[in-house]
Amino acid sequence: MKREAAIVGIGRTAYSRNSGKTTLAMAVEATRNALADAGLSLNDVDGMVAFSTGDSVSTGAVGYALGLDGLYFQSDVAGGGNVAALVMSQAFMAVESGNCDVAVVYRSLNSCSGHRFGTFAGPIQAGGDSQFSAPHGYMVPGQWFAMWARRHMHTYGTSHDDFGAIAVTYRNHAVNNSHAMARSPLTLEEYHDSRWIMEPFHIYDCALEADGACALVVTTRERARDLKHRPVRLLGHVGYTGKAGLNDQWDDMTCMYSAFVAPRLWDRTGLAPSDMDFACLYDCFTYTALATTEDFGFCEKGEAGSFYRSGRATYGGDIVINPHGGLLSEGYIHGLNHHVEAVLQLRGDAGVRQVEEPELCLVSAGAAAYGSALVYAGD
Amino acid sequence: MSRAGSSEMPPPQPAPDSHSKPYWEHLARGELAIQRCQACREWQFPVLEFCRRCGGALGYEKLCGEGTIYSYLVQHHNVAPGFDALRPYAIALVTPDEAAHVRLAARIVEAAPDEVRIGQRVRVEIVDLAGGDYKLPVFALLADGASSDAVQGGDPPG
Ligand SMILES: [Zn+2]
Repeated sequence: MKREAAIVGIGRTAYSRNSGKTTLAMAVEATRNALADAGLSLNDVDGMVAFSTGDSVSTGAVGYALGLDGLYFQSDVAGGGNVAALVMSQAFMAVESGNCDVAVVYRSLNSCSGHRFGTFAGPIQAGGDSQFSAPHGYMVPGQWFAMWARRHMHTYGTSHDDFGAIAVTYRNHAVNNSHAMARSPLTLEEYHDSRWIMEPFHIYDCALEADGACALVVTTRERARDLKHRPVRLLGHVGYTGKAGLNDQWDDMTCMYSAFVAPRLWDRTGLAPSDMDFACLYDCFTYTALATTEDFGFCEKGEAGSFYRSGRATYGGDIVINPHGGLLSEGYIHGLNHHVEAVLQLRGDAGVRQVEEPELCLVSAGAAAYGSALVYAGD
Repeated sequence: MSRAGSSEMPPPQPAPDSHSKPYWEHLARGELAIQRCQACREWQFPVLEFCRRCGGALGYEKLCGEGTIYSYLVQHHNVAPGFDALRPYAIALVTPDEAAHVRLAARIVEAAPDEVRIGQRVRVEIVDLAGGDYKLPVFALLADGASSDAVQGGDPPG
């Protein structure tokens, strides 16, 4: 019989503005917490998967620091939020193929206290593709997405109220999340009054940079029966990279990678957006959430603003999107924290923000020209 | 560590490689040129070693310098050294007239950021890049640059 895998444990550190810890210490802490949550021991771990943009610690170093003699499956993916679903898919494949029996997936970063965009140790020499953009003062990811957002505004009449509706919805969710970094309610007026970062983005359109780590444990579904929690299954994963990730050269900036991932994911799983009980959508910027809410089919193209404003993306509406507050309010653990929330909700362990008896959820990862998404189910 | 754009810090300087060197050499002569396949005639940007459509050899060819704004942003927060005094400044993605699938990112000059619109016609100006010997293409709005979507095409109907 084919081996099936499942998520059996989750763990994390506190999410903060200044951890005072190394990415190694946080990865170790999150991993230990995830194994304790699962009811497994360190000796059970024989696989590890992680991703980083050169800002974190390798699986080999984490395994060593945890006292493991070695790992039989090890994958260090070079990538940003676009691979936050891919790494989970890799862990499932590694367990299902028999490459390993217990895989830990983690993301550990000091995105707040570590390197900050806008600080420079010295003059910049821009090579590769950035030689054509950086000399113009065009050199941080938010600038790409601002271009995309402006195009959507032009094509569909999307307004700042629409972006604001997303920021406000997610913040109201984070109010009920004790792990979230930003928990004070946000009004649309406060959103409009906040400072510009890069128009059309206010500060509240941008993810909350955070220090922290989270980890998930994947093993066989068979073994999961003897463990502590209700396991979470993976029903399908699809990733897409367009134009080699050259965001400026993407044909139509009103749609993201998700326009390619969504039809394939719904086809592969035999499911529809209306089957999802909640979703954790990658939200590095409000526009990312806006475009992907549309692309995955939760509403029509160009209607995401009114979708959020009318309460269809929160409790009592069509679907709860980002019940934890997303990267915008829980914190920027690069999208792996979305998977932790998915597990909490599907297990029924989300406390006061629990979505009512959820069975299925979509988790997306990435923005603009590249990303991935998957569907989880409670077992 | 010093904060971005402090007055002593120059803007980022290009670090050309063998394939991009002609791009900067053309600019030094006051010309905007990008790669074009010598076999299938496809324009290509950013640079590659060979044509991504047919694998043919690439050469640099001059653009007329006019184009249309596909999208733009207005930068307020200081993210790049050398740009502190310019804030807020507009950066646009410009579609050159010759190559509808190519976007060039460049600063918009001689206009207030709130005058910039998608669909506006622009013309290149080649200016000195502070802090070194390079020249940089920037774009100015054309006087008759009325917003025109017919030039853009491509998007689904709203
Ligand atoms: Zn060719």
